[in-house]
Amino acid sequence: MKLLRPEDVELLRALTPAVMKGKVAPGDTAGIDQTLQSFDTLMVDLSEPVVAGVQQAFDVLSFGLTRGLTTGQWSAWSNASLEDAESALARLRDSGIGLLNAIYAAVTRLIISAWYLVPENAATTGYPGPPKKVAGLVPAAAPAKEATP
Amino acid sequence: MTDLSTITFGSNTDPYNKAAERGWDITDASQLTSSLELEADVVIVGTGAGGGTAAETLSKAGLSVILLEAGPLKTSSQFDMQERAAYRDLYQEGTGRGTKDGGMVILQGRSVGGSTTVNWTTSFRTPPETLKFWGEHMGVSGCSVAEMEPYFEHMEGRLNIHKWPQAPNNNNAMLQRGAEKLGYPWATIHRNVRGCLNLGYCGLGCPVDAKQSMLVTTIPGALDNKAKLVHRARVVRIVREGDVVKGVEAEALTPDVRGTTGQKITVRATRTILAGGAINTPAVLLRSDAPDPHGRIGKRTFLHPATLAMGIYEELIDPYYGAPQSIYSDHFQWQDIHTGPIGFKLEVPPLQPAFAAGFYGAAGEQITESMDKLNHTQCMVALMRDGFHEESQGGAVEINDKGQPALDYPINGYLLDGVRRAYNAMLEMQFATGAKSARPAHKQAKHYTSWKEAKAAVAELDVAAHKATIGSAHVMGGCPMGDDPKQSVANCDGKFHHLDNLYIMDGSLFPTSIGANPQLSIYGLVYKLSTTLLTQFHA
Repeated sequence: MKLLRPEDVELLRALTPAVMKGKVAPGDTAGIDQTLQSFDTLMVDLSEPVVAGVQQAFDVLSFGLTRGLTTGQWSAWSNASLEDAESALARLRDSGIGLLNAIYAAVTRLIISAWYLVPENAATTGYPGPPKKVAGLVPAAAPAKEATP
Repeated sequence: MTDLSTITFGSNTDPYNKAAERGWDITDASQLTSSLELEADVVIVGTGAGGGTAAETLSKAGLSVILLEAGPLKTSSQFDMQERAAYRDLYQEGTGRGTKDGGMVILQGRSVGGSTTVNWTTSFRTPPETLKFWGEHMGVSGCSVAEMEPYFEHMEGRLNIHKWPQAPNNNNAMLQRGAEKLGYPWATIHRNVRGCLNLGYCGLGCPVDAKQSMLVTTIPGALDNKAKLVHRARVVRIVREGDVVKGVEAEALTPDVRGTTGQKITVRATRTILAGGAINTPAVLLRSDAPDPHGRIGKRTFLHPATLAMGIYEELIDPYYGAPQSIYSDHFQWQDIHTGPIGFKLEVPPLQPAFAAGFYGAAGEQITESMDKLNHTQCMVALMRDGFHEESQGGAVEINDKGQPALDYPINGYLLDGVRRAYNAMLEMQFATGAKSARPAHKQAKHYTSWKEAKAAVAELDVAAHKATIGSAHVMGGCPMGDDPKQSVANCDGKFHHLDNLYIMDGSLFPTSIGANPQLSIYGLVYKLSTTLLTQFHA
């Protein structure tokens, strides 16, 4: 991993099957690994201030005391069941504290983006993918007729 | 639409493939091995709608022009319509930019051509209501509808802006149908395209150069006129001697534009033009400790805060294909311009999967089951017209101790009232057009199966910052123009009030939001300002 720290990986291993329920099962190691790799690449593509903000959010969710207080997960994320992860996410989402809502929004958005940025995952939406571009060819699809301005 | 993944086409349209034979002077600052010192009549910071327009206008008149761009030069030969590469290479902070507290995501371009390289081609003249408001309430002179007319007309010709003549894609057609069902006015959008293949990938970089962005129009025009382009060069500050600005200092960025190489670029110029967009332009002024006696720099920055609703239909929508925006409705936009609740414009966004997945704010089966039906999903977006009412003062651009900008934009009750009204407007249109289910972009919402159910649920939703999904693709203001230095940063010629030879020519000049997608407002205004600036050189 380039930017994900070991504690981030532990957190994301627990949260990914809850965020991507129906796509990534808790025992689906290959699916989780692929999502984490994609997440790590996504982090590299963000800016330094954004990465710093994401790491602060991860710190809140990983550090024992704040983890327990904010998510109800009092033991390590590696012990969390799918139900524990779902309950943690719901607490962050429904909290009356804006900062926790913001952490929920950032972490879920990044996991979801990381998953759908993998082209074969994007195909599960019914998206056939973009047209094929062939270097050096003239446009094969004729430009549609346009009115003059 | 047909399955576009089965079609192929070529990529011989890239004007930059002939850069050498056309004698273009382009420097990639990441490759510099020593510092670079340059001189010109004019240095322009930024290559988007403002910088591109100014560069062509001034270079055509024979002035020597240097364009500095923090982003990379990426051209159609590299545009492959894949989301990951586009978000990494063409957007500020890899699409991770947001407001300071994370309440809104901000999409802004960052490559040669700026946001014009990735926008959805929607072209509106500045609405007459907005120009009138600026004249009557914001101390703006010289920008009446009649005074702006020739400048808009010129830029519309230059960029082939015309009413989209093809049928809307299903995503847009549903907005039209919803408006018709409910008796709302709607109209067809004008687009800056030439030879458009109606693919739908404007937001990922036009693969065939049909979009008449700055990347393929004014910047090639300026390069033909001997302008020099330096990309991967981030301007740190303006250089001044007393009250006179003498140019800018920049730092070379690494090839991925995420770090610096240590090389410096200094440009000395008779005139300096800031055109880095409404976050980066105030940030340059703040980093430069520019005089700001009335504390106006970076204040009143506007976003057209936007929220969404997603409806699932029996029929195929294929919302990722076809011209992204071709229909709009202003039914909710212009009532009680500055005294009533916030107005909003209704449009639709394109739904490439990773982009669309960010709209819901949902997790678990709520998101995965919604996304399973993306090909049957229609999405409406409501863009709120901020900056007109006294309870809508926008945000403030600040810099941190590293000089990096952030936009602090508090989401208040006035705005959130607009979000709730927009949810209702959009959901009602979706159910009126036969949606089987629809949901607003809110983290505690779900798919509702009737307008009655949706309306009752929206009334109960906790519409609060961070719970409602709110985003922006239009950053405006922060260096407003006006005749009164107490209320503005630049005069109505774009000249910075408190220093000589420094000009601002981008969307940061707007004293309010535009109330429409802003690209043509920037083109028209900057064409006017740069034409006016020319008279100083000829005097």
